[in-house]
Amino acid sequence: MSAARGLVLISLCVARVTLAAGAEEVGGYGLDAALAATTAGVAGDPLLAAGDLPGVGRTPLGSGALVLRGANPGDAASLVAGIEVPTLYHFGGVRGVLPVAMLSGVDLHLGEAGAAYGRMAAGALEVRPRALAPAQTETTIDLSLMDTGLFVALPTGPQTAVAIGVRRSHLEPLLAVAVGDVDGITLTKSPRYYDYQLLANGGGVLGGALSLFVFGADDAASVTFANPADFSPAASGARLSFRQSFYRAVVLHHVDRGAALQNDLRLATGRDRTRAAMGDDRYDQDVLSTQVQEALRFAFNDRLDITVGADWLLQVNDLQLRMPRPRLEGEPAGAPGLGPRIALDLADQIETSPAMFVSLEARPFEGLAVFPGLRVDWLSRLAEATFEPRVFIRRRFAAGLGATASLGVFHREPSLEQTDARVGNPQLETGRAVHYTVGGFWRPLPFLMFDARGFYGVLDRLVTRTDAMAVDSDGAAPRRYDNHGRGRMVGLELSARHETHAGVSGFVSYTLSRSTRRDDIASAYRPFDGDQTHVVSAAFSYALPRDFGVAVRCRYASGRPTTPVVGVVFNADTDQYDPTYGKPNSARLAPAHRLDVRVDKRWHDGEQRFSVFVELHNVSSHRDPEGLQYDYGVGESRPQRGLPLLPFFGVEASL
Amino acid sequence: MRWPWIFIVTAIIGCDTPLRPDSFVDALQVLAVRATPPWPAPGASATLEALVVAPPGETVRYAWSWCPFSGSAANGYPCLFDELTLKAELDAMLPRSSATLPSYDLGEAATATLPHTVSPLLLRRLCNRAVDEALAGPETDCDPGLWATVALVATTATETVRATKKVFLSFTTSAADNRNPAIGGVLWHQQGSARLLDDQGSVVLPHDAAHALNADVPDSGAETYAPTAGGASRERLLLSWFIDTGALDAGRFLFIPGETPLAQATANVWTLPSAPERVGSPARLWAVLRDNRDGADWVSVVVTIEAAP
Repeated sequence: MSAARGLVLISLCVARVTLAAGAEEVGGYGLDAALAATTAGVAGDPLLAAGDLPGVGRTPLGSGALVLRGANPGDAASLVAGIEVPTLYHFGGVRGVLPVAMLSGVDLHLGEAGAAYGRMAAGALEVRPRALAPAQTETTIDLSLMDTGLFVALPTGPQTAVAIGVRRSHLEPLLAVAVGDVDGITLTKSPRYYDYQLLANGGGVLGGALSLFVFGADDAASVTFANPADFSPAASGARLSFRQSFYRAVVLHHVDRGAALQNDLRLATGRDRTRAAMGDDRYDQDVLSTQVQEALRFAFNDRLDITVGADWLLQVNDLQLRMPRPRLEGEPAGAPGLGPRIALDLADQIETSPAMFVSLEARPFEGLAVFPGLRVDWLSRLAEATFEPRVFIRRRFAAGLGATASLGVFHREPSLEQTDARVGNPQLETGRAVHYTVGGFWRPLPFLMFDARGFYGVLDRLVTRTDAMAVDSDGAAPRRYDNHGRGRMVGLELSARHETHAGVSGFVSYTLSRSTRRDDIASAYRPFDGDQTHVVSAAFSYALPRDFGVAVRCRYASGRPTTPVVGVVFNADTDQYDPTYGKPNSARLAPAHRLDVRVDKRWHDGEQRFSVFVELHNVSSHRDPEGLQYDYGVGESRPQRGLPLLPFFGVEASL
Repeated sequence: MRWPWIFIVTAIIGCDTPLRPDSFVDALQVLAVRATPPWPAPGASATLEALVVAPPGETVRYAWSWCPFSGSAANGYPCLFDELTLKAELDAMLPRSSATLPSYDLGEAATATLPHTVSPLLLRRLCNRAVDEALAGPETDCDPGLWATVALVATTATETVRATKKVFLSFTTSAADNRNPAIGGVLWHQQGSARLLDDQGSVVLPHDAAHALNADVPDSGAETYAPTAGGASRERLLLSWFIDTGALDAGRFLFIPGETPLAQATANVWTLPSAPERVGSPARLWAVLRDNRDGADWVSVVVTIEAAP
């Protein structure tokens, strides 16, 4: 794969939005969207900057997974305005699905999340839509070799506004160069994505504020192998295709009567579609979802606020699949296309997940806030009720010092195919996690913040594979999966933030952690796939004279665990060597690191603003190890390398 | 649901130059194992043969064995049911039935024989018992037959390699309807004519040149069969090439009916290196043909290297 691609990126520039209290008030971490978009190495995408937050591990190229405190990515949730979505990224991390113009901030909720957050075990990444308040029509053109976007916001009346955004990729020229180097592989349909948004703010009932947010994303790609044996000797087709799309229409109604009464009502409906196929293998999932969230907050007295709420999720699932049984966390990836197949055909399977929650904010005396809460969910697919007590305590001292502590219980359902009676185990239970944190913070200056927290998490009822049989009145049947896995995560998160002041802004985070699990009582604890002992991120920007700016970002992450190959047996049926594996995740890849730099220049011409920027991603061109590539005999191996140095440059135009 | 996108990414970033060409043979290696027939019917026997390549001058020793219930590949295919226990189980079902059980040890000759002599009824009961006791995988279907595992350990004075192959002991004659594919030979194309390569080195090829080859595989080699899901399917064919000198355009080709043409899957180019010191010496090539229902065949050829024109 040849190195160094040039991309022209013209992205929009929006006014900075003050960081909302949001997640940080209750122990999370947050990013201002506009400020995050100017971080070096993210090409104007605040969602890509979320990887710099404490507790977030480095994810493999193309996976798009959220690795929070080393846990299984499937245990983390992706949220937009509190509504769950299947993903926040195009193509596993290339771009966020929402442009910065539509966002006010990005919040990371970890073990400290309040009772309003559920159906997750390791945390959630949430984006907050922008509050529209354009004084006049704003039009921004977003044009690049990577994608083209258009954003228009206009006032439609007193306190009402509408914004429309649309963006479509055109990666073909870039990939034609990249894939053109790989013989025998044709991008039948070059990977492409598009996303669209409609945001409207206006007045609601009871003097409230009403917002409508409609958004969606669509990713598709297909690859044709002139010789399918290049993909796998067991391939049953020559063409591998993939498409993932989703949309949501969300109505948000917010009533704010000050401390006396606040109410948030969210109504959402949408559809998720994922299709993949190669030869005889396919995966086709179609989910219709409706979600209603209601939270009423009122002041019981001047020291106690009470929030009561409900969160009801209804999903109608269609799923047809024929594919190798999906690997579980900790299992070696293996050669593609090999392994016994499972087949499933589900139609109109209805799942309903109502939840109730109550949380308090108690302020017994000045400087102390206690947030106890309880969430109760009913999960119809598992016929299981879950109880999730939460408590977050914050104590502020003088001189900007403070301390926090939290305890939270969380649950996450197994996947649909894991609980189906034909290919899974309908008796599975939810995975459970109990998170403990203790920490402190210090804000010596209004623009300077230090945070340190230790965390400990215990996970149980993790899904593991089994050959055991279940015997009941109908006879014996294979269990296939059970809940015998246990895990634990322990670590320390340190962060320091310098908000924009005197032209300087910056953020440093360091996470030291150890995340391990065992699959049954007899086995020893071993690292999670996402366990990374050290994760360090540092990002700084400085405003130079004459409207120049420079920014730099560096990241370091310990290598991810891998399972070593300790022997091989030649499989005469598949013409492959079957590896015999050693202890799961007992080896590690080399560490990953990169350095990004950014230089920008701005101009103002009345209401019009222009800027030019240049970014160099991965200045040292260090190609991070993403996995291991073995030779035919599985004797020698070498790392599969990620992307080299990539230059980005662009022009911002806001009219 | 990220697995297909990850494979696309891997295909793009991971398709680098192989560490070692898949097709290059320079040590003891088992290239193929064949059972004839691939799925023996009750009462029949399968003849086991192997294509084993060793460096010149090395003597290969063989050790064949089989096992009715093997563990996973990740654990090295351990035999989960020892022979004495199996015989006891059979005798418990039907006295003296263990006398028809072939010994796990199939001998040390270059070829071996796996007799399918145990009653299918007993084997089916044994299979169900193995599933109940988690000795066989929970998805094992015990009705049409038993997937036995044949193992070959090939040894020279300095190396040992292990190979494994599945042999389907069908419980009915109809379920055994499956033949090995046939590869007629390897043709060398030059100036519009084709010449069949043999294993005597009678064909002479110049070094430092690329030579177009074609495996003689008839279209009928891909059988049509009725899969368990119903309908009709046609076998896929995998053609693997191996050499001991030079380079090939590709080591493996997959013929998928309706998607990749057979003519493309059976063609290759063998480039002999510039090596004047090797003029007059032999160069070896092997072509192995497999179908996706455990059938296999192969051909071994030798050419003599001559000086470049």
